[in-house]
Amino acid sequence: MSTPPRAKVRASSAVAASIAATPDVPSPGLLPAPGWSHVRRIALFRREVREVLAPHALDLLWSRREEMIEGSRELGRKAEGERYFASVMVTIELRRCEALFAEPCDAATATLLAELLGRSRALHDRLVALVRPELAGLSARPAETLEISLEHRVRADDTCLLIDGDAMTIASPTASRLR
Amino acid sequence: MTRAISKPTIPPAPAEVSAESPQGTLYSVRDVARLFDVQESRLRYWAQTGFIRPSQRVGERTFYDFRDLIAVKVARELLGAGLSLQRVRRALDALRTKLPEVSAPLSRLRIRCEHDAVIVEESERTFEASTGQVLLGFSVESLQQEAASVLAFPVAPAAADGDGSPYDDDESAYEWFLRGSEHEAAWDGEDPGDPTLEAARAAYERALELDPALAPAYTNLGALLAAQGDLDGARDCFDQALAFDSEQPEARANLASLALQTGDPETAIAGYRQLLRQVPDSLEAHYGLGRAYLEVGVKAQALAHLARFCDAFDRLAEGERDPSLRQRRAHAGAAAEALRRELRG
Repeated sequence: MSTPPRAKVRASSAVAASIAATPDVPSPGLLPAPGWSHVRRIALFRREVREVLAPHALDLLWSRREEMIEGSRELGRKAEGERYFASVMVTIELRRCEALFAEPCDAATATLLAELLGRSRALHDRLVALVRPELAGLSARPAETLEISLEHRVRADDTCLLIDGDAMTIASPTASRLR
Repeated sequence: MTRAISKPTIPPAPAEVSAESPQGTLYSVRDVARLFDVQESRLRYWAQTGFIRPSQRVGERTFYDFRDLIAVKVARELLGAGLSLQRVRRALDALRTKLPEVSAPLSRLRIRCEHDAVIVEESERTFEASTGQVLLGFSVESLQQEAASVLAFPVAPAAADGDGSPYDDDESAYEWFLRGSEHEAAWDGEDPGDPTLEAARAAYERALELDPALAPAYTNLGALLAAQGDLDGARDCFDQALAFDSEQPEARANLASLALQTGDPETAIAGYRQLLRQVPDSLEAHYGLGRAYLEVGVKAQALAHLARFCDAFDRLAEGERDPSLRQRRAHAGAAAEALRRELRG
């Protein structure tokens, strides 16, 4: 049903003049109000557009990351094994990736990326891989034997992607005995 | 022309209507809108939300009976007196339970409201209003007379269509919708009182009368109301459009635009973002986000979306670039350039 929107909102000549007079002070008043969208004809089809991360996109972004990992053992817990925690912070400055991608590496792209990465299983797995050696060191257990649960959040600050992950593993006495 | 009908017969002439018993007369949404000076879109919104529904159905169409009229009058007066929708709904519920119990003919009733309670009186006595306690009082007989007099006056032809015969009932809802769209396309974009707009409005309302679920008609009617300054009515229409077609991008864009124009940029941003998830290249979404982010002072985002709007405009075919879009492109380009300079500095 979608047809090109039509708007009949017009900016006053004063607005146009103010743009010419003060080009360095952008304000909402410089822009005419958005128009009202109309339906001209009922469309036969409606397109469904799905935006997902393209193959290799995460590889390239990941290659430009900065990271920080911290871990600790839970204090005071005795029964049912010891719990170990790790936090991982990854920062990707999108502006530094400008040469890599077709899209503009600006704040809007960062916001969309944050939305997509926030539910990315691939990113989750990479974060788990990052914290695994830290948790293995803390628990003194082989990294490949650890069952790690991790929650991650992604937000955008201007063109910067800020990725935080909180990971936890339990080193149970049973698991220890098995080894 | 359908003005009011006696169930289940064909619509009688207005002169016949005034002679009928009120219980037997049915009223279209247009009649009720005229009687109470309420917008048709608002009545439809009330019906859709279950606030006050037309209780009678004839074929595919629904009608208000006289009891519904009483409910509309009570609701309108209570809302006008400042009561919340919730309290009015309670009052109407009370009214609905009382009306079937009364033995007198409806025309001999008096109805009054004290706080949340609606009191139906069968006696002839006149009740006295006192400030803060009694909110309204009217005789049903007088409402009946008003209804009859409104029905006796046909709608002015110019307000409906302009061809001397206000409605051709052979036309479908969608044909009325297209007719409204044609009228609107003839509008000069400047004068909100232009007769072509009124003709468009009448056509859209007719379309909705024939098909109350025709979402595009709500969208265009809402846009028209917004252009005429009735932002509440416009919001009702856009909500209705999305109630019937939850993914319609035009209604979504208009709701966001409405939020922006009523000083709520955060809601506008959320609405435009939702639209972008559905239509990633939406011109309206990028332009609206650019303006909304400027309002909340997030200049990097404003720049990004204004730049996208400009790029998307530049990719449009020549025929798709209407004057309004061209003008917004010029302003957006200037604002984006100024933002670039500022952010670089």
